Amino acid sequence: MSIKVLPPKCNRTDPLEIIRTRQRTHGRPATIAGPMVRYSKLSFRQICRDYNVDIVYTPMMLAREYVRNSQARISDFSTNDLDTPTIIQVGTNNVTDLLRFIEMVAPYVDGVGINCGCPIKEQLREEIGCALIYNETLLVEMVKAVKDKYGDTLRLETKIRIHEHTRPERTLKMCQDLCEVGVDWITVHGRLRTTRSSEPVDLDAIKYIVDGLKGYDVPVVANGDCFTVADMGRIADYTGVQGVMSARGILSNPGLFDGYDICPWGCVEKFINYCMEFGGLPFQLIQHHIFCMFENMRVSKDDIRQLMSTRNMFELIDWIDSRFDLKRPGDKEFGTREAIPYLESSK
Amino acid sequence: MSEEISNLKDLHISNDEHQQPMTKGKNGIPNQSMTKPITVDANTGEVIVKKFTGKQRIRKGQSQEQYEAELQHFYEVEKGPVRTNIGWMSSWEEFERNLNGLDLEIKHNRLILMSFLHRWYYLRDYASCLKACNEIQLKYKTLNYDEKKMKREINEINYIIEKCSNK
Repeated sequence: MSIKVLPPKCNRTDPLEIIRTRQRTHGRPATIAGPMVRYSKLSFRQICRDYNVDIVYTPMMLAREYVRNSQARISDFSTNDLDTPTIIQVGTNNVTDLLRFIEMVAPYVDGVGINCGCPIKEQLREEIGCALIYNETLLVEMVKAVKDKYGDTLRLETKIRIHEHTRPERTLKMCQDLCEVGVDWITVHGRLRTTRSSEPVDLDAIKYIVDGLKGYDVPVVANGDCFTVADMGRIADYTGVQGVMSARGILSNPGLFDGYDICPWGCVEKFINYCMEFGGLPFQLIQHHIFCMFENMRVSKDDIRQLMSTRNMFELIDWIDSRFDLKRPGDKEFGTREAIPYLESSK
Repeated sequence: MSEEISNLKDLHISNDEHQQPMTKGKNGIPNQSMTKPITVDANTGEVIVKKFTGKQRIRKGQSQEQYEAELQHFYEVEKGPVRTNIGWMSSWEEFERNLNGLDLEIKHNRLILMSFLHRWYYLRDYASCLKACNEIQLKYKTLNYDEKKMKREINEINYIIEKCSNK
């Protein structure tokens, strides 16, 4: 069988160029929405872009499933003309699956990120995610195989956690090895595999890695504890990174990189509209996104309880329309208001 | 059993080589040693993974032929990843194409049909929503579906028919 394989996306928006130049062109680090299991789907990626996010990740996809199962491909990844720059994140434990996965997705994305940070045990058990930082040889071999094959036609990132606090020498050595084989940039989540998210991120460890990679032309992105623009500035100033990634912060407030400390109402309106326009998202997922935004907006507990008691999309739309002034596209002020527009009649 | 796998019967995984000590347990979080996957066949991606309990699991490989069949399906049938531009659900023809073309035994495909209803309802086009609900209801009657499994979806359609009829 002879199949003509498509090359990587030729008109990509180069994420590496964005990371390298944002400080010079915009006076700030590159802003990045991190990969989140289940959540970083197309509608969410699009809403992030509306609020000053430079680069957006997809949720992690398992290379093994993607290359073997058509249904996994259809439900895992959808895209459109606006979906750029997008980094597709992959979970894998061997070179073969990774190369095949990249061969399939490279024509449709702007870069690929290898997940070396996911700490959940179901993935660790499969030697995927954070397990890879304890298997440096395999990780370096994977990066080398991809870069040997694609060179600069494909951007490849690794998102890692640290091995130890403050001066993570093993992590730095691994990063240097990754630089040697051509990784395009490295995202460092400043927590150990076992660190809970309630514990603060270790900025000293990130700074140690940034300083240790000064001899390489490879940017570092910091991940962890970015909930406001002020956090972004503090993290970048302290560590010297060229990009800042937010995950939990941007999930509850997609407007955070645009200077909103609290999620603006317009963001909820635009998010619902994207969900309706793109389709294909399970109701429970949309409901949970709105729940996260409402919590951030300090919507009352009673309202949140009512939101969570809706059983399908129609009930949810009816409930929001009964409680708030939800604008649609074409309506005046659609997507622009900050304050929650409670309906007088519902007070 | 393939030759490579039968050879693994006597494989010894030493602590030095494959179990690397990590940071000490802290705050009640156990310190679980990490193991490395063992490549059985680098050409197919077949690996053995070792669970924390010590049990080994084989993750089957994918032959070049199997992969090429998936690749061909991806390009020729799926036409690459799903693309959903703004407005892709705005035409009645697109709804009918999906209603008549998708395998509705698959949950994800039924979810796509529901997305058309969500959009019309959200945009307050209750006439189109009701018309589509009735078509979906008729179509579901022709399916050999598990009523228990689809109860939620059937209830949702009944709910929306009632709501749209009263608007």
